[in-house]
Amino acid sequence: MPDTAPSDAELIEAWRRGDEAAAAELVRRHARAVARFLGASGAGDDVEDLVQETFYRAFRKIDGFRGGASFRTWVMAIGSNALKDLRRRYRRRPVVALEDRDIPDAADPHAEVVSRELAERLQAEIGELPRMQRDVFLLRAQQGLDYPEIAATLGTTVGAARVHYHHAVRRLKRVAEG
Amino acid sequence: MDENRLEQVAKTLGTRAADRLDVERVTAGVVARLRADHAQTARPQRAWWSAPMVLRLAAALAVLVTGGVLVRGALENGSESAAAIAPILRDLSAEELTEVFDSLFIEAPVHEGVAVGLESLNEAQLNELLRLMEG
Repeated sequence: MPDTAPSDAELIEAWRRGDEAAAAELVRRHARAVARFLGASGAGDDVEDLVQETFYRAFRKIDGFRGGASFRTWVMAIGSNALKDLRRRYRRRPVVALEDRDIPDAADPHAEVVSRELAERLQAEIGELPRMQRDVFLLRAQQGLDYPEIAATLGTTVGAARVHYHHAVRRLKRVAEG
Repeated sequence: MDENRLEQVAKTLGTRAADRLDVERVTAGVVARLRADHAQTARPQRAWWSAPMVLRLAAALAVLVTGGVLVRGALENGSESAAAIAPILRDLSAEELTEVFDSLFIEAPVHEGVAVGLESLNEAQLNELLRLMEG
């Protein structure tokens, strides 16, 4: 039986024609991934509001989506902008909630504590990275994108994306080993 | 720590935030905002005369005109004002009346060097007094 679910491109086209249901479907499809990206970026308790703001902005400027990257990663880049605006507005450092951490090895209490502590330090540091380094690192390490797609999404070159990633990793390693 | 381990940890970040997300609430919020935008742009253009600034100016003008009409009416209706003041003046002594005249910088009517009461004023003097009392 063929898959009848419309593709992102079809939904985007439908939204361009004013189909509200298409926009809603795109939100349902990608909201959790965007939330994960923003949560890892240090959005803290503002994740839900930010996800809403991100999709609202995305649909308002949908004509700016050229298809060089996937819709999801394009929306993530918009989310990163929204987070930057929020921080500028609140003039605050990212607040990282403890419950945002995963506990990879619940069977081993010691490993759990070490892992949680490491994740906390890393997330705090990711929130402090320069925006381009943070976005490149998360798009690659968390979302699994390749450099060409990262470069297309963030409007940079593949070489520059590699450099940003390298700097981010070096800094995060220092913190992890610190 | 090697890069793989770092990426492994990075993959776990934000997972809880994603799990807690109320997707339907977010979707409803986005759609509501888009709908509000659509309603805003679909609304017919206001007529120039109903723009808020024009309405405020019109309201201010109406207040000024109405106020002007009322003031003018009060000034033109001098006889009523005079009638209201006259009983008060009647109770004043000749000295008090002279003080009133002095305060209004008009010459007190005198009769052979002696200050006189209200009943001694002629019609022109009384009208002048009332006009000055009305300010």
